[in-house]
Amino acid sequence: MQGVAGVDDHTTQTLAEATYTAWDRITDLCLTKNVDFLVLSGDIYDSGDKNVHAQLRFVKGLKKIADHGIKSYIVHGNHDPLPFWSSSVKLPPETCRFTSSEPERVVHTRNGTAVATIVGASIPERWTAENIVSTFPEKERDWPFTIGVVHCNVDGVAGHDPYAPCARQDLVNAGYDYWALGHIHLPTVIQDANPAIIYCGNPQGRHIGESGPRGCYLVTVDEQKRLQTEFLPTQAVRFEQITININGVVTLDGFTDLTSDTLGARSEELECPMICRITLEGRTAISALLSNAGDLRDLREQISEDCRMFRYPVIIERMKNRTYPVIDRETVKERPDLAGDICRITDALLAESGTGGPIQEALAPLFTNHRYRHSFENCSDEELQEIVREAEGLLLSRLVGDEDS
Amino acid sequence: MKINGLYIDGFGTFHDTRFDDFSGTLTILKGPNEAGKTTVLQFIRRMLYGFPDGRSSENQYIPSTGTIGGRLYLTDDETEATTTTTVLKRTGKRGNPTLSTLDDIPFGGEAELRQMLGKADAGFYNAICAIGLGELADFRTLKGDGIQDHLWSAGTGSLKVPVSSLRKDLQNDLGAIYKKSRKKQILNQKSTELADIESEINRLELLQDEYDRLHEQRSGNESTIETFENQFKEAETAFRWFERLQNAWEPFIDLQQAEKDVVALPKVASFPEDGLARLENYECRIDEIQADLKMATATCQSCTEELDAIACNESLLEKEPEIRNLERGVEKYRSDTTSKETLSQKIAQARAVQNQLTGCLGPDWDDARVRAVDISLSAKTFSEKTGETFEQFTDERKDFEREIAAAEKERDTLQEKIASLEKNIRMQGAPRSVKILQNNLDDLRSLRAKIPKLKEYNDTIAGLEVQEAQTQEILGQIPGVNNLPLWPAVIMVLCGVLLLGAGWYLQELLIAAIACVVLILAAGVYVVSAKSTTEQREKSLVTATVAEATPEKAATLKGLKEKAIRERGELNAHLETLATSCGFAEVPDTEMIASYEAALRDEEKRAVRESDLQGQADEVVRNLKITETTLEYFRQEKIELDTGQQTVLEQWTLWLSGQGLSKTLMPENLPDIYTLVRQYLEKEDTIEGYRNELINLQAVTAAYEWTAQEIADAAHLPYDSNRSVDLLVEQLATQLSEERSFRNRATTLAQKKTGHEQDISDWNSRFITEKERLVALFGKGDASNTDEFRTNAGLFVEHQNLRDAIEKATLSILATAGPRDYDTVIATLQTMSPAQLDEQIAAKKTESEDLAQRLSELKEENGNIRAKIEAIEENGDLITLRMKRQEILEEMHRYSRNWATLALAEKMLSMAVETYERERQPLIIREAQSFFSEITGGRYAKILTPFESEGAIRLEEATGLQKNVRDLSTGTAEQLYLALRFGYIRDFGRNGTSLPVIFDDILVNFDPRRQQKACEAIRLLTETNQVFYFTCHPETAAMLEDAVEGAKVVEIG
Repeated sequence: MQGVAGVDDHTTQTLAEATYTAWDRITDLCLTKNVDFLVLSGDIYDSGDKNVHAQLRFVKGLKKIADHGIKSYIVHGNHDPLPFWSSSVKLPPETCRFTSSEPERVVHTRNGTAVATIVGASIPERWTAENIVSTFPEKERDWPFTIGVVHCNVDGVAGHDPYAPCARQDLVNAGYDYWALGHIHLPTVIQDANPAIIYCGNPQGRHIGESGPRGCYLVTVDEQKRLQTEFLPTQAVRFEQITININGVVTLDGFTDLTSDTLGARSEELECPMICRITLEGRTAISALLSNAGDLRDLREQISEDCRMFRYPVIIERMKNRTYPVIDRETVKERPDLAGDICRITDALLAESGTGGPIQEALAPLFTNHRYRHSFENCSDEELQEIVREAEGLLLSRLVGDEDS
Repeated sequence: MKINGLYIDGFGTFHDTRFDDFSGTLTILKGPNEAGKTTVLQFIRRMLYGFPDGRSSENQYIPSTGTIGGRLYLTDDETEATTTTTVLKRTGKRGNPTLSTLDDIPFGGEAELRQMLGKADAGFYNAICAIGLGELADFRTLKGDGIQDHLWSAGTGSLKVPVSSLRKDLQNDLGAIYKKSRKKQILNQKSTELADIESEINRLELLQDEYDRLHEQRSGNESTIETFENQFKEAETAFRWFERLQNAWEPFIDLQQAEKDVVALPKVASFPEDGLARLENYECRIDEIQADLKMATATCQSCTEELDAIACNESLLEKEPEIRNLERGVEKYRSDTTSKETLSQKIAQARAVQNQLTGCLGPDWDDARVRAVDISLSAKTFSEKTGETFEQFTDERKDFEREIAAAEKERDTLQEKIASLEKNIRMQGAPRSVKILQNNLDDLRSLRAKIPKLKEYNDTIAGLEVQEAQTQEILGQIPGVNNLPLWPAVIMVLCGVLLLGAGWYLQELLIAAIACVVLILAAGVYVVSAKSTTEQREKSLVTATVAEATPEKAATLKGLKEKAIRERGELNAHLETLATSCGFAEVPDTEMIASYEAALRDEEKRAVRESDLQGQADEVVRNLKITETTLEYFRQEKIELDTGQQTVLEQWTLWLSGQGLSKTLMPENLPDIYTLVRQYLEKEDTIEGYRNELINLQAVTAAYEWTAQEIADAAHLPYDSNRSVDLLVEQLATQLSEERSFRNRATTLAQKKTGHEQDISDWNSRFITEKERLVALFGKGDASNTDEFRTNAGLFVEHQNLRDAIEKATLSILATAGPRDYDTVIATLQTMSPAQLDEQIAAKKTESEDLAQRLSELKEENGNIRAKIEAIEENGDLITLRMKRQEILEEMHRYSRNWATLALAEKMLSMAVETYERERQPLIIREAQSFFSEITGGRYAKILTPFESEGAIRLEEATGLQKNVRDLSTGTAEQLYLALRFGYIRDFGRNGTSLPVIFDDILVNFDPRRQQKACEAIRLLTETNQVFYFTCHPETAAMLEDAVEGAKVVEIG
């Protein structure tokens, strides 16, 4: 879980506990739904954290369900390879951990009857380019309902490392009934049957980039091996990116009211605590005010204060100002004055790509500082262009009045 | 915009001053020093841009007369064809500007004025367009941000905020976020915070390895602990073993010694257990028996001797019950004896009291007489009643006497009062009765009231006679006047009645009745009016004038007169009657009446008084009679009372005689007598009681004495008869006690003797038994006598002791070694010495202690490790710190982005400014350059750089030589500044409003040639702007006038 700036310590603590809360909800669901077993497909925790407390909380949850006779089947992923777990943290005996990079097969029985075969494998390293799925044995005729558990990237999902890459067809060819996949944090159904190939995603979003619902899948299989999958949200807090168009807003009160109402409606819709990043768009007379970082911060705090009245807590992670003054840029651009020059300079800069020239010169004091370089190292051209547009918006909102549009 | 003219209501030295028809090109205001040229300059400035605040240090130009303010007549310079004149008016320092037409129709104010002036504010206008020598010479006025901003905005369009202000804001915002090598900026602070958190995270990240290491260490420690514990156990075991050997050493030695002694000792065939003890016991018992026998025999002997010596008085002993009774009763006997004496004394005392009582009664009173007195209730009741009767008589007598005295006194008083009243009555002089007098007074009053009436009658009659005469006289001259007759009314009534009858006959009753009523009403009206007419006539006739005289009037007057005469006669008669009743011979006059009335009143008073007094006297007489009657009554009553009392007294006396009492006694005396008698009798009863008691006591004591004597005799005890019986009884009791003790003693001795004899018999038997046992014991101990037995006993004991020692040693060794190791211990002890044992023990002990120490250290270390593991397990700070780090990174990223935006904005703004300066400002420079070249006669061809600072401007001569502004002379610099202003004005006018330009003698530092050139430059300026030039130099004015077509000179001052 990544933190949110500008919140109080209590909220920070709540967010710190969010992943544990989500894990507790999973184990509680195991008990309430009276499942036969729990499957965990890797990246249980980020071993880079080396967080003993997290490992112990995890084990505590396993013990809780084990005490009710529910087994767990675990594979490890790129973020939590086995060698990076604490050797002192012992899993309950009811937990089956697939530790070998060679697929292992175990049979789950109920009252002496085999009800499922689980095949899994874990890679001991943080990264591998090997297609692990291809090493999985094909399902045999006498196998009961067969589940493959593996941490991999199917068909190269964008935005994720190509860890243990495989193709969908590889999964289909194995002949299994269900593939419980890990690695992709967004709950994704690659295929809902024959076999079902599902990334359950992480049970709790960790940052604004992991917005949307997060949880786990309850898979119910009848005697005819027909399965039903149900996504069960478990997040303690939900990340959301919200865009608000404030066209025509002329007063700060109107802006705060519109924003608060939008957030309130969304939080009611989601019915859970929410961390949101708000992007303001549109042309507004208050663009100049919004372009001031301090004023925007104050507005954010004011709106956050209004959000305290909501039934479900809403935390504003950030407010991005993408508004423009109520001016006709093209008309301003034609003016033979400073404002027009600014527009023309903006176009010129946008035409340049990368961080060269005036942009580099302007950003050099920070670019050259090792502490802050990271803010721009991964800055795409698109983002730089966004900064240029913001700068233009800031200048125009300060220099040009509405009557000059 | 151009200024056509102006009117100064009040400003500085100007009041009600007007300047008209300024030139549209150049207007030269020429005047000497202190003519007011600068004042006019200031006036125009302030009219356009307002008057400064009163607190400002600027010259306020307060006029001495008039209201500060005035008017400017402005023309719009856009269209020459139709020139519109606008009047700008300001009145008062705070007066808002008003714009109006020439016809004084207002159409605008401040906003419209600003629109006319365009983007030129006061700063710009006062620094560029309306300047004096001071502004010209000061470069800073050109360099000011506002000027630059206005140039940029004025020259390039409208900007919301000045560029310099925006630039400053951007720089401030940038500086707030980040500055290199600073600590307070946001990013720097965040960076420091981040470093701290990362340091803490790094520390915590190591905890997992630490966690594992601690687990390993703990496991190792536990293994070592286990090894040490095993070693410790072995060492302890060895230590215990040698300790046991050491403990077994002494018993082992004892065992060996005992076994040796047993072998050496002679044997005894048999010996009873506890033989010696039994021997001792038997011998002891035998000795005791013998001693007891001896003592018992002696005791028995002594008892026999003593028993023989005892002799008891049986006869006395036989009387013991009686003696005990006497003994118990001796105190009573004594008490009774005392009581007898007391009683005798009491009887004597009572007798004495009786004698006193009889003495109180009287000298001749004796016992018989006292007894004869009847003190019964009836007698008391009779005497009390008689006493009450006497008291009642006495009280009544007193009342009667009191009443009699009061009545007599009252009688005397009344008699005196009567005499007094009679005297007063006589003094009244016997007036007539009040009634008569009141009647007389009434008559008198009537007289007084009626006498004037008589006079009135006389006057009336006289008047009537006069009138009558007059009337007669008049009537003689006029016809008669008749009064209204009443017979018409009678006829009307008759007619009404007839009509009514006719109506009844003709059956038209209603009509007839109506007609009858009408006629009757008419008759009534006639009668009333006739009478009133008559009365009026009569009245009016009395004072009728000639015109009113009639026969009736005369008749009336006559009637009246006759009436008056008649009435007067009656009155007169009445008055005479009254006078007669009052005692007058004739009718008195008022004075006589008043005098008589006074006398009557006085007499009346006396009569009233007499009547009153008489009444009082009568009252007193009545009271006197009553009093006398009362007096007589009381006297009579007293007499009767006395009679009754006498009767009672006689009865009383008779009764006393019967009682034997003195006849002179009165009932009130009897209670005392009764008391005395009663007391006497009570005493008598008391004496009787004492006497009886005495008799009883005497009998009791006598019986007691007789009993005591009888017993004494029976016991043959000598006693003195003169002694008191109680002493005899004591003697008897004492003697009895002695005899009783003798008897008890004898009994005891006999019992004792018997007992001892029995004991002797028993002990003899026991002695024989013990002896037999002793012999048997000897036999068991293989001895024939005591000495042998003792010897055998010693040997036996020794044997026994040795066996005990062996057993004890063996047990001790067993206890130490245990049954299993016994043989081993014995064998070991046989081979080892004590020193060797000690050595082994010490070695093992040291080894154990070392191991225990090491174990303790290891366990403590493990405890610490466990605590650290727990702390790590419970430490959930890592994730919070990671979140915090991410928050800070996020914030830093955000601030960096913000900084980047601001930096880029600043960069872009700078680029825009550069663009402006590069592309547009050169136009101004070119303009300025052109003017400057013109002014300097072409010496300076170029102005090279824009000005952010003075030093940045460079000038290039025609020769190509470049100079800094600092290198110029003052005049040339002023020319440069003037040229720059020309450039600004031109550029401003090109892009905005063309404003009137005012120069206040700015060419004074120009040499003539350059002045000329400057004039030429001014001429060029007039092509676009109206120019005003104020000067005190005629030649400059002339030069300008020559240079500029259409120039106008206005003299001022």
